[in-house]
Amino acid sequence: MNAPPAVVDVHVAEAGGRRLHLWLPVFVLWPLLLLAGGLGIAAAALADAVLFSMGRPHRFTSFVLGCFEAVGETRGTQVFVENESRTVDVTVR
Amino acid sequence: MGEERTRILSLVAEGKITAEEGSRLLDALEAHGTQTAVAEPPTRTGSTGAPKFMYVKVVSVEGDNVNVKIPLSLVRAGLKLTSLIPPQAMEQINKQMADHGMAIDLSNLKHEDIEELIESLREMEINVDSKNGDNVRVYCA
Repeated sequence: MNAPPAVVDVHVAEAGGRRLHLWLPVFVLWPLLLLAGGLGIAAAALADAVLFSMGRPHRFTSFVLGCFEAVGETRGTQVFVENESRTVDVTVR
Repeated sequence: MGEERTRILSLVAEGKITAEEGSRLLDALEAHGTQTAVAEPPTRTGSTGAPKFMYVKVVSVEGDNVNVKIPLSLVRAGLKLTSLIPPQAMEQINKQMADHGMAIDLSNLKHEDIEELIESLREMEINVDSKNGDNVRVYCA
């Protein structure tokens, strides 16, 4: 499983020559994500255990872990949009 | 791009352009490099090994262009996630998809199928040309 994205780079260039470069340090949210992940996994594991004991097995824990894996795999995503007046480039690193 | 960068720096060193002009040129060079990297993703010709990215390229005659580069590992993780969706939710999703003309049972999607699907994406290329000249291209490289 990859680590979650660390930085989101946003480049905006306007036709008039104005440029904007945003470097969003997403890594500062990692502790929050870790906390949310921990709580999510604990809740999912509890739900799985309760449902299993009731004879209705579910895989909520795997689902939550899968969600975190998908978030980690967003690294490398790049979106580039261009029109006559503006160019926007978003990169997830 | 390295040669151009060196040339700009040497122009600054020789005093032919100011440091501010040099900085502006370097910014422009960097921006051009970024745009080129996205606008012209690697071609599929001669590519070896497993594809790493899926490219979606939209070129509009009105000048609106969109290029999206998605890691295939994200596609894989997303597909894997579908096999973990709780059965009740899956029933609803399958029903909604069938209502919209996509009668695919996502619960039948197994891990091996996902790997096979990702592997076969390498050979896939979707190229749509509209009547007004807009072009949509989806491929992996």
